[in-house]
Amino acid sequence: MNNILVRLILGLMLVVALSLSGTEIIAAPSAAEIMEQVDEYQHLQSAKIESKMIITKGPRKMVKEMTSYIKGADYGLTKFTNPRDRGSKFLKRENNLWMFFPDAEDIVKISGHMLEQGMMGSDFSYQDLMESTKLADLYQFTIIGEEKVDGRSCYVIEGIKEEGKEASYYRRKEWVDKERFVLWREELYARSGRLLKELQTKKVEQLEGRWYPMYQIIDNKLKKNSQTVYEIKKIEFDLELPANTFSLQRLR
Amino acid sequence: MKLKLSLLFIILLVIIAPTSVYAIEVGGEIEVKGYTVGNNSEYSTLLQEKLNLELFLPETEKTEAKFEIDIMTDSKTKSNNTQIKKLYLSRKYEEFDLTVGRQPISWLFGSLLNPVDFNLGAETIEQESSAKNVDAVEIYHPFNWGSNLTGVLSTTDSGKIKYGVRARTTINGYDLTANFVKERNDLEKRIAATLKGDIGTIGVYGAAGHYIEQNENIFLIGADYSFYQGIHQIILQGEYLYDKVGINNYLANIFTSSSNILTTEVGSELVAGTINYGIDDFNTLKVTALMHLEDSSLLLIPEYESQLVGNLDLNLRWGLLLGARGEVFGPQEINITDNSTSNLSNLDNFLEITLSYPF
Repeated sequence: MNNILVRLILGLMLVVALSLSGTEIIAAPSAAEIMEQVDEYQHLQSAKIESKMIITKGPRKMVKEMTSYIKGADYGLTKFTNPRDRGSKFLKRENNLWMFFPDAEDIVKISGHMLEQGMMGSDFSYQDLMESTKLADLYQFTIIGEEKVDGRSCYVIEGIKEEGKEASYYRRKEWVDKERFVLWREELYARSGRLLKELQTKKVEQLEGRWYPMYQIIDNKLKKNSQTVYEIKKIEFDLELPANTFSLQRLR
Repeated sequence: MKLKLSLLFIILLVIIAPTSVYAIEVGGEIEVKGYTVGNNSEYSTLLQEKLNLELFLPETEKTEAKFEIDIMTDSKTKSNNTQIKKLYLSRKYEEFDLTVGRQPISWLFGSLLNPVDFNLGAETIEQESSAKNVDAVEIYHPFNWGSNLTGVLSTTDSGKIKYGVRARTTINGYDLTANFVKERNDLEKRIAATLKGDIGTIGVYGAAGHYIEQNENIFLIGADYSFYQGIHQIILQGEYLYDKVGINNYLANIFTSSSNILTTEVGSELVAGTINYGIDDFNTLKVTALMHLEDSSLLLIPEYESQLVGNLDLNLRWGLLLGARGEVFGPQEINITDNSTSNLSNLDNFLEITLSYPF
């Protein structure tokens, strides 16, 4: 009887120990694994996006509407459709940028230094809007805590730019939804430690099996009373894009 | 000419009509411009209203049609002037794209002055001029994503035929073009090449042209750079133009608005530059300068652009001819418009105020 009881207790202890160790693995993925999952959802192998940008400063408002085709980190084609910029188009191939001027109906290669400038006066750079880079390829991430954002449980993760990698920001702090692996909040810092921009996601949607941010507010901390809203009206993933999509012919 | 254009428009409508299950959209811009030229004692002012209308006709996968028109009135002549900017049909074939009708032909490469454009004096990148909109046939043949060949056959105002060919390719991130133009009568045939790319973080570009009949050369080199000073985006651009052919007047007058202010012959060496200072997302200051190197006279154009509440655009330009009498950018003597009877001597500045509303 005692022998049976001892075996039963040992068996129970083993089950508890195994289940605990299993729980430990599932409950605490590494920062790299979390960010790889974020990349998995946010990286665009290929996509067509119809979006809108609203830039406000006090009573003044600027609205930009555009349709973009994106293929990974290297290729992007964006056409503006709002009245002020209607017909302006940009083509990005790796680190090269071309612009189509609708009035002259001709194409000009834009100097490389413009890639990091705000696209058509917004807080988003050409790189931000015309490529889909995997963050895990550029930053070394570490989990620094857990917090709730708008009622959602999030990992708080810090990323430091890896040496030799080209990234717009030296440090970034991410609030990643524990279940949906979307970024609810982002803080982007300069090397000096100064907070440059804060991005908040206000709406996400589950599309084709992945959660994707559809409405974001970016607050440029260097600008007073200014804010940019980026809203995706429609997005299609993993499209079969024609071979000449990212060509000067399509830019015309 | 009007009959030709009307016929072309009817043809366009017939072609587009079967696809007109889509709505035709209308867009454009309303613009009011006050333009004052003068000197210390005498000024003359012109008020011009312009309606730009563009029909966004339904497109198919392979066919596109465009129609854009400017309707202008001015206070001096009390006349209405209508100008068709675009009226063309473009069709994509297996091997090439064909565009027929009134269309802009511009061979830009990112410079402030473009001495090797298809139409000289056509425009700087951001400014309009009717000179580039011509009745033409254009054939575009792509070889791969970044290499192509364009052929243009156009008619000039005098009804003469003008033609040109441009080849374009990209090598190691540099955009290279070569072109040939059978120019207007006095300038005859021209061959030219352009280059644009980056050296480190600085954008660089250049152009060289040779006028075959005159056996004269023209060349341009330039650079641009941008950076942020806090929240302020600053863009710098500067270039040097060497011109032994005598086309500088076409180019320099682009900066003096629609009237041809510069009556003095512009010399053979010019330096041009701009500083663009973004005050914020809605306001920009810009200063453009043109200097004639032989007499060091200077044309200076400070400019302020603002997007106001209600989506209105405000543009203020002040042009200052800072040279001495007799120098290239010195005081001028002009008629303000072709139809005006008022002459101004010793003109040394102009002010342009433009309010526009895109819709």
